[in-house]
Amino acid sequence: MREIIKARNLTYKYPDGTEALKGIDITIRSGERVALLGLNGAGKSTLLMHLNGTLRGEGELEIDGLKMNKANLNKIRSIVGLVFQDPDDQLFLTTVFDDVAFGPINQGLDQNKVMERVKDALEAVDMLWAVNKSAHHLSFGEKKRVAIATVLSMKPKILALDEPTSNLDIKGCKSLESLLINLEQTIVIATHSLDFAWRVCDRSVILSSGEIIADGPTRKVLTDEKLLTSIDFEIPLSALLNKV
Amino acid sequence: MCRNHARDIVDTDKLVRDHCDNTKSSSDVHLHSHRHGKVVHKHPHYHPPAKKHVDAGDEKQHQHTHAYSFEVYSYADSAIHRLDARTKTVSFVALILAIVLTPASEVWRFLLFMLLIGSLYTTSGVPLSFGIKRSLIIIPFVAFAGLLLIFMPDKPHPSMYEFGFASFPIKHGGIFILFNALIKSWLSILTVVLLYSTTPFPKFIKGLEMLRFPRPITMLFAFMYRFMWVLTDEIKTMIRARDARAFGMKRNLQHMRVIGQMIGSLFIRSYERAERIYIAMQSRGYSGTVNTLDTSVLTRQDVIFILLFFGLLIAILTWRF
Repeated sequence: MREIIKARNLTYKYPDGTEALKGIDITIRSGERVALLGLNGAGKSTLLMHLNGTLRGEGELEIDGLKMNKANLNKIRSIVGLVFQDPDDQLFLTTVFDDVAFGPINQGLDQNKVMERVKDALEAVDMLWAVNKSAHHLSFGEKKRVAIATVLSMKPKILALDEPTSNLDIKGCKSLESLLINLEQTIVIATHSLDFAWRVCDRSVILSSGEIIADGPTRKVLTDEKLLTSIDFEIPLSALLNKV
Repeated sequence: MCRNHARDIVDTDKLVRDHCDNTKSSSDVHLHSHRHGKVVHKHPHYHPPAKKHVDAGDEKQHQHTHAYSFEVYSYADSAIHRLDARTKTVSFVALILAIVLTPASEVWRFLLFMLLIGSLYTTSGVPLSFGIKRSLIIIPFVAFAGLLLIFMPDKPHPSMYEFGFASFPIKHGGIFILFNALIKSWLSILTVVLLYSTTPFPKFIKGLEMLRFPRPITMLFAFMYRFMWVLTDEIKTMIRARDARAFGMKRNLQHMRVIGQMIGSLFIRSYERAERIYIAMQSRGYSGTVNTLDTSVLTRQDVIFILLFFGLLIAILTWRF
């Protein structure tokens, strides 16, 4: 399969001097579902923010064959759909329709095409019924789904999600899980939830203080007790139950 | 189950109806009604399959709230509600202009305006008592400014009003100015209340955009509407956090300092949220202008309403005995 994300020696320092990424090398192929795991401050979100050029560190980064630079920025942003942790940040317009249509309109599509994209995206997350609602009339889980739709409507090749399960109840997690598994896109998820990673992602990457310390099939990485305890992780319950 | 409603023909509504027709899915589009106090609202309504209705006679009813109190009547249904947001905005702004331009001496014209506003309220089903209650907010401002005018010295015809122990110079012209300010502001506010009670805010903003209102201002309205309650929630969280630790704190200078710090941290939180929103906008291709699709069309009813309404306004403004 094609290499869709390629990072070589990616480093990033926050303005206050914190080194968030210290030489990240990673290659992600088209269609993979990858979990970025790590404790708070490990650099998961920072790495995610690099994928669509929100943050730009040193080193090489190639998205779908395009080098990350100013000229390619707009193209890259329609390739990588970034879903933020707080749906209240992602949904900033007055109706669900406007929010989901925002990306496609900016891509320069005509009205019919935009309507089609909105319909498809909202159907995918099972939220079409809320098309005329305002975001503040929705529950947190519903907002989260709409936030994903705002990105799906742009037909991105890569979906990057920052902590998709935070604050989400069990039901919300489950429906999110089945939604993600049924998508064809390449998916990169930054999360604390090892169980969620176990169920959704076929590959897991563990970050610790800005470095990749493990990268491999989820079934292997998340059952490596020695590795997990060394960075204060625990084997996910799902893994233990699956073993039985 | 899909039941179609030929009302409120906005493309986005059609989107849902088509979806229902095509898939025969369990998504439910139906005439829905719910109550706010004594007023029953009916409107086309969509549901996720999971949310169940409680049947109450012919009309389905279920618990439903509109998030903002000022929106209580915005989603009701009436001839006025069904008009395009642009029609209402233009007409009602014209009405306000007409009210303001009427000389205060011609009291009977104000009575006609009152009659007009009253009949608009009746047609829309928004209780006049709601409008009056909401409009009272303007009275203190105007009254305060107007009261000072009353006591200004009146050169040509000074007249004293005696109240038992004291006498005040009260300017006849002053009373007139007070009346002028009160009646005009009150009627204008009644009109504004009617406008927002018959037009959902998102539609109002879209209407302004379609009327070529400057984008930065409509965006400002839109953001305000969207984040008003998000911010209020943040304030509530902060107040709760303070109260959890500030038991026994006296209302003194220290208390004021805490409030000051809360305002400061609210500012920082809003600032940071604004930054995150901006990143989210950029991530979806924002490049300086926010574009949304125009979704409403003017119908024959709109044209008829505008013609009638402007005819009435001109009649009230120019009619002489």
